[in-house]
Amino acid sequence: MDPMPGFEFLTRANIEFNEWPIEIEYVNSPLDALAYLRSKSVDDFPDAILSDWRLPFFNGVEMAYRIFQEFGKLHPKTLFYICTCPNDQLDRQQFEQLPLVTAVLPKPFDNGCFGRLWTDAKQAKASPQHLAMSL
Amino acid sequence: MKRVIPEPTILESSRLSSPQPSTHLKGGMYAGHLLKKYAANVLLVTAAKDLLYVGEHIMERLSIPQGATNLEAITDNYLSALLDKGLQTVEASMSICQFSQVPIHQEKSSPLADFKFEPVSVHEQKPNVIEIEILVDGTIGNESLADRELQKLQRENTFLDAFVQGASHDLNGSLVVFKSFIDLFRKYTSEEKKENALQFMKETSVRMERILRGFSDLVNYQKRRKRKLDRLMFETQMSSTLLQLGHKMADCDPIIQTDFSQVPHINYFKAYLNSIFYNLLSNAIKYRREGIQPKIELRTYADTDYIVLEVQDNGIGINMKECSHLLFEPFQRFCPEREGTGIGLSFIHKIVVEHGGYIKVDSQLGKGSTFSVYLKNLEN
Repeated sequence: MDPMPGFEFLTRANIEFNEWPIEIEYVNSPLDALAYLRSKSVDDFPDAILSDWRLPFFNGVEMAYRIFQEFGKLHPKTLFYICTCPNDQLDRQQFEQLPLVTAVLPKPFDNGCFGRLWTDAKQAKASPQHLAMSL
Repeated sequence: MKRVIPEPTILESSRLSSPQPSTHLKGGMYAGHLLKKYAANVLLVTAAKDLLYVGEHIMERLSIPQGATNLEAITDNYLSALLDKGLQTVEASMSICQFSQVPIHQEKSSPLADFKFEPVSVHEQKPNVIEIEILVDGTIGNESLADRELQKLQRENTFLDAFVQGASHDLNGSLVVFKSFIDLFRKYTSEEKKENALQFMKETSVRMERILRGFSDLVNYQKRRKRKLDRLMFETQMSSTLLQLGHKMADCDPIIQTDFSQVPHINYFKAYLNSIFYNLLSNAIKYRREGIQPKIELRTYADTDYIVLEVQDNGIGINMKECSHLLFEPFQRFCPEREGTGIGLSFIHKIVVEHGGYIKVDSQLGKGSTFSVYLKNLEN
């Protein structure tokens, strides 16, 4: 989820260029994101959700809270990342304290981010308690 | 004889929640600060418009005796006017937590001390509680001029903070995207992909330029606050705005209907009225529905102390349930696929409010929006 024009192209280009073995769905509005998640079956639900920290309608914290409330119990293994640019004036701690936020990731996504995502996803699959603990 | 009650002004607002029905309130630290600071001016109101608490100053102003059991007196024009202004935030809070009808659980107004307050952090808030809106009426009470000035400065700082935070986020994001496209451009060998990257770089630089222009508009506004008032004709101001918008209107050919006959003039600052016209008209054009010829109706009328400029369009409309409380926040864009920075509306809202007015918005998704700008006829 990122409303920044060009960011989708950039992310897809990075995935293609670096040949990361992931598929993404991209939305630029949190309301579209909620509608998209509601349309997904249990098997089809994303392994990870990445959201900009500042969004139209509500901020990343509220977005995380809504997703947690609506989908947290059904999909406890889904990872949730807040994304931020260098020099952004955000209260990083505020995000990292939220039990459902897996980590704060820097933009644009590079091999380091992808590696983190990949490791977290594998751990979450191996250990279903990863997020269930915070429900 | 009907009592004349002064027009209330929502000074600040925040949200509380409470297990039903109870005097145990939960909310953020800011809510606690408001309760403590403005106890005598506080009304606690549920979304169902039921009163939970009436502050002392409000009781006095409305001549409600202490310990009165009947609060009907307050529910006439005063409360409806107050709620109308606070309603947007009430609706906004409805979208976060579940609501239900709350009975008035107290037969008379009880001191605020009867309510226990417990600060909670965002992620601790639980569903299935009643959300209560705190509305602080700034027109009642014995606050000194210094207090009012301080509050004005605090509001100004809040706006500037939000502006800087939004600008910083959008500039940072654009810069990151721009730099990444340079890297991609270097790596790409395909001419088509290089061209795509170049196109995105160009669009990103235009976006950064717009944000910086927003900055200079704000700086100019801060610098030129004390300027000369003009006696302005709405018709002339609109015509000059349409000339400025010529290029934007060329490809959609909007129908524009005006009726400024009820109030043809206003004493205002020319540049500010021009900004108001420009932003409202350009938004009406920008957020038009695909395949539908835009129709924009403008009219003016008098309403108590205000001159109202109403701009109605048949555009895509606004999701008021989700974004009414953010409508005038800088850098909030609810339709990211259309160009824009999210500065314009927040800027004209700032102008209108700083000159004693306010803006009311009615909108339906897929049908259109009506912006009613309540302007004070200014005096030198």
